[in-house]
Amino acid sequence: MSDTTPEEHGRGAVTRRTAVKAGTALLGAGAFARAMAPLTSFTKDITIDEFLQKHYLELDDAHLQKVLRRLEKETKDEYGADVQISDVRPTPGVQFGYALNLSVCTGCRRCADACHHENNHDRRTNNSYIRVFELSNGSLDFSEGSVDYDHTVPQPGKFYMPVQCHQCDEPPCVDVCPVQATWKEADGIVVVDYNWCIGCRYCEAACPYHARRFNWTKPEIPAEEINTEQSYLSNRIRPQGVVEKCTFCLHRTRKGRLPACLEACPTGARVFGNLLDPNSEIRRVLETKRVYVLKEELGLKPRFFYFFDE
Amino acid sequence: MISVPGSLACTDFACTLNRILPVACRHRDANIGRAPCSGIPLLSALLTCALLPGLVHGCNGPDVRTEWGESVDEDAPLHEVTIHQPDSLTGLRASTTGPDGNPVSLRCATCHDGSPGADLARRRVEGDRMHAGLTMEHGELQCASCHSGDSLDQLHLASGEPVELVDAFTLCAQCHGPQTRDYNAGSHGGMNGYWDLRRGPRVRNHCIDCHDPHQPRYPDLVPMPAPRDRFLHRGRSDSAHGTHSEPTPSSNDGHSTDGGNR
Ligand code: HEC
Ligand code: HEC
Ligand code: HEC
Ligand code: HEC
Repeated sequence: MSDTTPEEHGRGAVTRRTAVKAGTALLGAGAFARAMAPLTSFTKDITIDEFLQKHYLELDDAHLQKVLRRLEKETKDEYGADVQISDVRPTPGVQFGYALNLSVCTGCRRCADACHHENNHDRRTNNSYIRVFELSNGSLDFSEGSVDYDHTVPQPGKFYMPVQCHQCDEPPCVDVCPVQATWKEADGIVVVDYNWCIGCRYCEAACPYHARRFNWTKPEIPAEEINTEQSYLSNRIRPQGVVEKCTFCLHRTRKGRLPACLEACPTGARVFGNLLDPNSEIRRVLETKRVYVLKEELGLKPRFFYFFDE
Repeated sequence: MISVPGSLACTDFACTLNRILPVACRHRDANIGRAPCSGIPLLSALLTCALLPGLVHGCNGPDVRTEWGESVDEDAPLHEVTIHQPDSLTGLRASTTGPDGNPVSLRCATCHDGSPGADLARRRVEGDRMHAGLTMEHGELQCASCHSGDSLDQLHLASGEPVELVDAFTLCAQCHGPQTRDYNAGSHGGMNGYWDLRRGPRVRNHCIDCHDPHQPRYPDLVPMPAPRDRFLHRGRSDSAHGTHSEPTPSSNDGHSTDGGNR
């Protein structure tokens, strides 16, 4: 609190407070309670600094560094882990795309598990940004599909379809956010400022891929299991009461590395890369394979593709 | 082989790229520090300041966080792509461990001095003691389709040309063109490391990391535990707010049933 400068509050804080008031009638009771909490009591969970913090996009480098150090300290205090939270911006000339080979995926959920650990998800719920559907051959009826099968895979007559954020170019989740806590970045990744999110969950409802998650409780992770390489917009431990989502592991991919779910895939079903590079693996998939888009009729222009081997 | 489900629409590649490239170009030319909402036409159309005065972040003034970070040198030398070499390519793994704690690896020639080869083609070792557990389920192939009779440290191509064990890749490639092509294009076999070789190296798996040459069918796996996801209970009781998901066996910590993530 003491290292907060006047510039750190100001317009941003007013903006969010106004939004909270204006949004009252629209919000669910739970979200409303959480949103109002800071106004009544400054708990250990929500400090005044955090509440008064500006929107990520309005923080200059000096202030952002302060915020990052504060978040690191909070993680140390609350979780007992020494983490490094960085801010990684998009790389010029890079547009991310992801493709998944449905002929090869066997539904083993190693991707979902890798996501769980990489992104510091709540251990209790075993949360993950990836949900793997077991569907019957020739059918895409998700209501008939299973996401909690626990027999060996693959089963005859079934195919497996992992679904995660499609990083749409026309993202409905971004459009519905009343406070612009979520937006699309220049390299195509849709991100959330977890410190700006008011937890109204409109975005979660707007996503046809059900790719967003809401933190009902404070995430529980033992200190020794925390992935200490974190970034502000991706895998830092999210506060309770906010919405979170897959970022194609931007803390890795913006540094040139492959996403955690791809590296964990034992079948080699996942292909990731730069859509602007004509020699990239992802471009070759799009150019040479039969490529499909889930729910294409919605016109959301996803960056995530499915393909089959001929 | 999976038949194509009805509502997975086939996308035309040209279309896909045509829509992404212009977006990308716009972004590339964009001024640093511009409000992100103005880069997204639909969004800015929907969320104008007039509609939601005071609520919309970014309409009050310029953003300071940069749109792009540092560039990577276009002509930077590329890092290496290596193919992982499984131990089994250098000899026979014994069940005993050596002084270093690793399984002892015996060169094939330790026992095969070149004499047994004559009738390789007809022999099977299922149930034998030395190579116990070796089952042959690879099309109609015989031992001699791949192993050389004269030197078991070597494999051979259909032409008879010898291939060292460590080059087994070449052997698989001669009969599996499509998978080898896909592998070389990066869409079969997976990888680790960097998608951007300007910034770091990459390691590829070997065919035999995933396919036992004698029984190449990809093994069945036990899946990792599923996320305890509120989505599971959709359709049962997911009305409006205050959904009650069934408590899962492992959520016995006294939290409310709202404890699942969704
Ligand atoms: C510890 C000794 C030992 C080592 C090392 C060994 N083998 Fe063998 N191998 C045998 C014996 C003994 C047999 C005969 C099987 C039987 O009838 O029990 C055999 C049989 C075979 C056969 C079946 C052909 C035949 O003549 O029966 C093949 C093929 C073979 N070995 C390949 C290899 C290869 C390839 C390696 C190296 C990767 C290797 N072996 C290493 C002992 C060994
Ligand atoms: C498709 C080609 C192919 C055929 C057919 C084949 N092998 Fe092999 N074999 C290999 C390759 C490649 C290796 C080395 C890689 C490995 O072991 O994973 C190998 C390794 C071995 C080894 C040593 C390592 C191990 O896995 O135990 C033995 C023993 C062996 N083969 C025996 C046989 C016998 C016996 C047959 C016939 C029943 C046979 N192989 C047929 C390709 C083949
Ligand atoms: C001499 C030709 C030949 C060589 C060499 C060869 N294969 Fe095969 N492979 C076949 C044939 C034939 C089949 C059976 C195809 C079928 O049943 O349709 C097959 C099938 C397979 C399958 C599918 C198995 C299944 O049950 O789904 C895999 C995977 C495979 N091979 C991998 C490999 C690998 C890895 C290597 C190199 C170690 C290799 N093959 C070397 C001829 C070969
Ligand atoms: C990362 C693991 C992995 C690697 C490495 C790998 N494959 Fe595969 N391969 C798979 C999986 C998974 C399947 C699909 C299995 C299924 O259909 O259940 C497959 C399928 C195949 C098939 C059968 C295709 C069919 O239609 O039945 C062949 C043949 C094959 N691979 C050959 C190769 C060859 C040759 C290489 C090396 C160039 C290779 N694979 C490398 C995982 C791998």
